[in-house]
Amino acid sequence: MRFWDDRKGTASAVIGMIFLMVAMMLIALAFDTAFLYAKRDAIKQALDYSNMAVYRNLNKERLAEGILEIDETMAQDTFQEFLIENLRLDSSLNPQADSLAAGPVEIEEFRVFNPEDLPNTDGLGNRVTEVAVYSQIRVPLKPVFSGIFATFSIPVAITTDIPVGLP
Amino acid sequence: MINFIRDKRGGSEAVAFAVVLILLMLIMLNLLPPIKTAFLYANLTHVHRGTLLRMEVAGGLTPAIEQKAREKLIQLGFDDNQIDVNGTSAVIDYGETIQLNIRYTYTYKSFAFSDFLLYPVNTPRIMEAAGSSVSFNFEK
Repeated sequence: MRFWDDRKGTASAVIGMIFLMVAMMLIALAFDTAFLYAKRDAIKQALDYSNMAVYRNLNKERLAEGILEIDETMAQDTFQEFLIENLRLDSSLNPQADSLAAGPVEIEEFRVFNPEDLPNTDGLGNRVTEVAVYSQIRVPLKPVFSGIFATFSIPVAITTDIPVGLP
Repeated sequence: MINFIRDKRGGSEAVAFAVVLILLMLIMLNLLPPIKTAFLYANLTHVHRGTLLRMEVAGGLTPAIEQKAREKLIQLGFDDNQIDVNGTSAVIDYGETIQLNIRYTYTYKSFAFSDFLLYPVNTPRIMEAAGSSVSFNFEK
């Protein structure tokens, strides 16, 4: 019992525990930040692939005249089709079991910059001088530690220029 | 041993320090595997992106593109025997869907605490980078 009654060093133990808890919180915060960054990067890549797929909707008649023009109505459908595939969503944009998203994905903006729209500025404030596809989505993510308390909704946007290999 | 416990000169402090140290070590040791995994995954997605862009131009996966992806992954520290590259074979016409999956089987090494001992736990896991785009291959 003397051991438990011993008050020598109690403060050190308490300080140690506080230090441990603060260290754990900092580590968790650092880990979650890295986790969100990595997930956002993977989502941005999936968004880039979906933008890229839109170039399948080039107007072939205009292409024969040497003009690159994307059919905007078909482009929207293609974008959504590939976004669903690349982010593993269902048709209502809700995540499937192995999806990167932790909740329903929102398409905030989808825009095709055809020759008549140029020059222009995309949603990120970048100048667009060539045919391009811009999209912005909002994806709910659940980090490992802070995800216990809340879900974060992260905006992801990218402008995709014409792919290498197209005329 | 009894004397050590009865000793009023910081006995409890030493025990508390040991417990805190073990917990801290457990956290620190378990922090490294997810960081290493995240780094590997970032490299895998980077190679996946490059490979899919090459596939778009070539109209699908060719042996040369696959070889290049493998070489890049080996260069980044991946084990060649555990890499599985699966994609739409070339040549696919312009506008058709191409798809690429790169799977990597690895051992996730974490640490557990039991009986006042820290010991390593190896778990086989699979990481995957998958994506679809379209072919931009033109018959010239």
